[in-house]
Amino acid sequence: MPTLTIDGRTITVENGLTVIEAAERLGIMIPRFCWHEALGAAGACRMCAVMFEDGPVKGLQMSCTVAAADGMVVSTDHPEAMAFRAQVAEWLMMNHPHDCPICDEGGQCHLQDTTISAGHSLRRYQGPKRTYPDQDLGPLVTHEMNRCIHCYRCVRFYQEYCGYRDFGVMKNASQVFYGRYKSGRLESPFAGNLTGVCPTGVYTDKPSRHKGRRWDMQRAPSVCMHCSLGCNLTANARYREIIRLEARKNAAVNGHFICDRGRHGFGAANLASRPRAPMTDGAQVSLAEAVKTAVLRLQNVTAKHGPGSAAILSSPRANLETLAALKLLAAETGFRAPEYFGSPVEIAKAAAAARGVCAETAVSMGGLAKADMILVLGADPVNEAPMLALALRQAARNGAAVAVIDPRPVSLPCDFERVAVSRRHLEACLAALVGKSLEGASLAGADMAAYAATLAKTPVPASPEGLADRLDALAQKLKTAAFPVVVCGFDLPGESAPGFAAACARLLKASRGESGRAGFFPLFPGPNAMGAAMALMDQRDARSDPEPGDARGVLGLVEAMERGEIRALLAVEADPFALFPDHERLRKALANLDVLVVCDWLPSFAAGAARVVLPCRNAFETDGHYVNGEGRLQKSCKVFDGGEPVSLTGAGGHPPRTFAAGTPGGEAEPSWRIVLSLLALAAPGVAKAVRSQARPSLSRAVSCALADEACGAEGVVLAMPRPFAPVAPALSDPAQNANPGMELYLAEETFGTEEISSYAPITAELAGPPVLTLPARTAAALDLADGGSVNVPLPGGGVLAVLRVSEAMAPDLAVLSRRPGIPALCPGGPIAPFDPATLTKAAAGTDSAGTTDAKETRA
Amino acid sequence: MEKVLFRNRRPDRPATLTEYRQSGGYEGLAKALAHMTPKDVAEAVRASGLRGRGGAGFPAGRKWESIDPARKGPRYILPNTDEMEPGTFKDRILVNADPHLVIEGIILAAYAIGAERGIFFIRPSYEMDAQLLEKELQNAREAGFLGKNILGSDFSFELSVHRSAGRYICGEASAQINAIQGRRPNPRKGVRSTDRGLWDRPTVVNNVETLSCVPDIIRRGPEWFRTLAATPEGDGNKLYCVSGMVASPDCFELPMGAPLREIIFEHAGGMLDGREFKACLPGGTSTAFMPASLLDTPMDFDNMKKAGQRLGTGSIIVFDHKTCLVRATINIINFFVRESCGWCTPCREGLPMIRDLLLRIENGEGKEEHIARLREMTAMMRHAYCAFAPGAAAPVEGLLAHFEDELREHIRQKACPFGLGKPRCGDWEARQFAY
Repeated sequence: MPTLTIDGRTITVENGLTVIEAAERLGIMIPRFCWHEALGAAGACRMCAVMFEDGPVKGLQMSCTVAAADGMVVSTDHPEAMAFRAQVAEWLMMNHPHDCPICDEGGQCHLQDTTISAGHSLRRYQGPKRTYPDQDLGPLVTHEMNRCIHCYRCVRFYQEYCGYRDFGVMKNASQVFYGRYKSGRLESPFAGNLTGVCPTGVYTDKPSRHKGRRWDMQRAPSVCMHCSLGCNLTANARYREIIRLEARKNAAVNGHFICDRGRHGFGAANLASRPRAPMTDGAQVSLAEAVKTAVLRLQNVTAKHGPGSAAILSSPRANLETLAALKLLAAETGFRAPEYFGSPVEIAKAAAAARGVCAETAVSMGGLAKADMILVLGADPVNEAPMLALALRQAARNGAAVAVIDPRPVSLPCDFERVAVSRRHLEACLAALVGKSLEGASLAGADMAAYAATLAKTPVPASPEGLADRLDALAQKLKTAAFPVVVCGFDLPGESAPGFAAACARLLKASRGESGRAGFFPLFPGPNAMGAAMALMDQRDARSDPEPGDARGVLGLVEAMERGEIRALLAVEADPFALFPDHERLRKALANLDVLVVCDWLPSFAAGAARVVLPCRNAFETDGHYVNGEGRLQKSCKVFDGGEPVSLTGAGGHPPRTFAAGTPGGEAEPSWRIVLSLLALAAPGVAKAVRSQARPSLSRAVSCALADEACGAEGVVLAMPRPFAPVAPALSDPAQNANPGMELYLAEETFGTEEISSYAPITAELAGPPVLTLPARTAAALDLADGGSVNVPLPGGGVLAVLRVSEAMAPDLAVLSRRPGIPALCPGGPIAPFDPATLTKAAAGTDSAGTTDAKETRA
Repeated sequence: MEKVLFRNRRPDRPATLTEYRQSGGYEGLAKALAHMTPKDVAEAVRASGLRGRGGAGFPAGRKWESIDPARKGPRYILPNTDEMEPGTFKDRILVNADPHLVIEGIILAAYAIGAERGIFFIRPSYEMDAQLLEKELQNAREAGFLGKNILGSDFSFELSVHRSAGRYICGEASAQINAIQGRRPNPRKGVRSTDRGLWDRPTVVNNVETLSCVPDIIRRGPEWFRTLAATPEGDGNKLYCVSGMVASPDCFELPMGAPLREIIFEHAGGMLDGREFKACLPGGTSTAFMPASLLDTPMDFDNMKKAGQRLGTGSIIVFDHKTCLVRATINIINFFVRESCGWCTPCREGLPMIRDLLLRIENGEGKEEHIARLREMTAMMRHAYCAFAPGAAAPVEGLLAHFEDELREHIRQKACPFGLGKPRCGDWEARQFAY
């Protein structure tokens, strides 16, 4: 713990911290360009020069490359240091085009700020400026190399931090060029962060180009809605339109960065087709009137058929406030308890994963970087939760071994061991691996020891060849790992997988003694799916092991609708069509309802079918709390009040102005408030109590007292200590092993599959045509070549897809991109038996592949 | 005086293995393998006082001994013949004169540091020499000096030739390591090559002239080597390259510490007819101009340092009284502007700005304030990432220190007093490049 003096002030810091960081702790911001907290020091820009007046290092040195040491006396404002920094700024500005008036970075430009703070204001260089040709880097990032000051942050981020190679540095001397060998879309799904790491305007956000200055924006801290990781954002709005999302630093979650799905998936918020006006029977009414109509109609049904004839559906994208209000509504009116998921299997998985998140094995995404072995079970991070892939890479860079047990041809931007086994054997592999690694380990409880012994005896699947040896080698690694983490996917693994993975993590933790560490990191299907799973659980006692009651998801609702037990449905921030794959069946069931009330902000199919539409606000337009997959409660703040974007109401005028008493399309309210107004009318008895509090108490939703405490900048982790509960792994029966049938899996992709971002025009464009990936042997047997087009016959119709052939996948799986509309063709769910012989080659010259028979349109 | 490095130098062809062996070649290796431990060899080299001939003058023995002996696994030696320093051609002549002297030196160094593999890093324009080396390496291999169990000992060593892609900075040890690994040849700081070098293994990068001194240090002892030098501070013999306006430019093997005046006026035959000595660069273009007043300085590392100069590679470029030193400096700085790796700001942006100021002065657009600005800026070059930028600034510093009047005369006359045509700003850089 060295103690040093900077500008006359003394500070003690931990070992290894650099002087620039120590100064920052004192509030002294030494100018810098190449140094970045996540990327470390490069020593390239020479901007952070300070004078070391005494101690082990003397003279003018770069504060980013010198580690703080005892007895250092540092001056940041020594005349020689100031003169040198001013000179460095002059050098950097020699060739800069000074195009600040038309540069999107203007106003938030680190180069502008630092040039001034370094004391360079008079231009002395009179020679010609260096110029560069720019490249087209795709639809997300604009390239403007003339502005470059060559800090190497972009290439260090892209190659070292993210592990992608299609972008790099070329040429030397004063012609150093950052870009690609050829113009073209950046391959990394993290490329949008270039706009953040670049200290000037070389990389700017292309979709928001020239849409406003930083100071024009309404800005607020926000949380990402596009997976369960809960990455932190800063949202920017202008003229009632979300313009741009930026990464907001949260060391425990996303660090400094976000993925491109999170950055660009917000487009639905600005859609013209968004339900903005309250409607009853196709006519525009006031919100109060629509609420009244909704209550009257719901009450009509419940009066006739009993309170249980009305059901409530919400989803993992609704915030905790809404879940709390819905619980209250159900409790007071006797409506059926809210449902949040599609099917009992999903509920079981979500509940098991939520139960697995406990204080003993809690690990944050930031914490993954410290793990030294990570086992990924049934997850494809780049496609399902991209930032998780980046977290795995940071762990791997720190020396962690990463193994992925998954039948898909998973790729990660780091070295990892791929265990491509059949979906049927996922848990058997993990069981054998964890069991073997614990042989001879001391486990405190007898139940744990017995459980570990059972796991060790798990028979290893016969295929692929050499699997047993590879698992043995991994088990040896796992045995010596100090901090192993089990990551569990949601969509692909079977019902028992999350619970089993969590139990494995508990075993690993227990075998590492009192102070040892092990982690469990589950994925969930949505930004607040963990919150929804917690909401489903019994409220009796947070410390007990709760069960999800008799929830049966949308499937249960549909069955009850078909039996005529449910006559009315209130869907709040939920699209049953996004949660339930058999759209035909769902459509029929909904058509038989007496009442369908939809409260949503997405122009969903359900919103189009509803007789009563209550438009609500989205996460940018109201404060809300969300619980991410590790159990972290985070607050997303209101950016603006909502309303139709001026670009839509202004009819192209500049400046676009309309004059009206209210905000066009501004009637939408937060969904929890709409639910409470429904409640006030439906159950006047509780109306007063409800009105007395501005928003529902969060602990009502998730039965955790912590939830009501203000969550700070990093959020609050709600994980509680829990007793160990063994979960038996699902092992497929040997008879099936002999001749496993092929399955088709509709897989999530980085772009275009997640519900909210699938409405965003730009991410939909990034998604491209659907891809069918076949195991090489299957493709060869059918004489199908990589890159060709094939017709994929599905029960509900055919899909035209581009064929990819992979050696790196289980032989009994075909993977098809999930896209809006495609699940509707596969009523059995995302995994279905599949006969590859039914594939047909598409005729040459067929234009762009896409769904051929998906007729659905949204509202 | 006794020639050591050039004892087998002939006007027409390289010495053969047989000729080299007749002159005591590979006796040092045989002695080392039979009677000395690797530690003994390194200690002998340290005791000889041998300092790095690539320019930095770092004691070779100390470099070798800084490898942690406890560290297992592969170690590497990189004989450095990048030789991109303008005015320097000693390594080429050495390799061509007596290739086996170089090879034996490398093998001995490899033995001392426990290297199992050497990669001879050679400048691409030295293709003929690369081929010669490859041929002679095969001869050495066949004679049992390379490969498995050299001379029947349990020491094995393999050496191959790697042609550089051809950039000045590749001569810098850490940049050379990056280059061999297929990375951009940027120097790197904060890690020592002897600790984490090639592929993160302990690696020694030595100039081939340094390595060529080793066989005779081992064969004849460090004390003998110390007696060779002309000054007490010097070590052994040194190859001095002389070029420029002298009667007989050549590479001379002389005792380390020979006075500059003797090298130029005795060995290189003095100035060309009708030319007067004006200045010289003593150790390649990354050293400062030396005026006539310093001609009696002994050319060894310490005495040059005392005189405020650097020995560098000992490559003397002589300028006469008709040469415009501003124009000469522009020519030099232009080389460095082109060869910068582009990593740090002072080098990448500062050198072009220095060039711009010099061009303005040469072009008759100079102002008095430009001299002060040049002085400030060259002084700041020492805060660059590696030694490239301070080296590049050295001739400018020499110009400012000894020939400020010449600069001022350009400014006063608003033209080059030597009557040279105007260089055009910006001509120096090819501005059109495609991606």
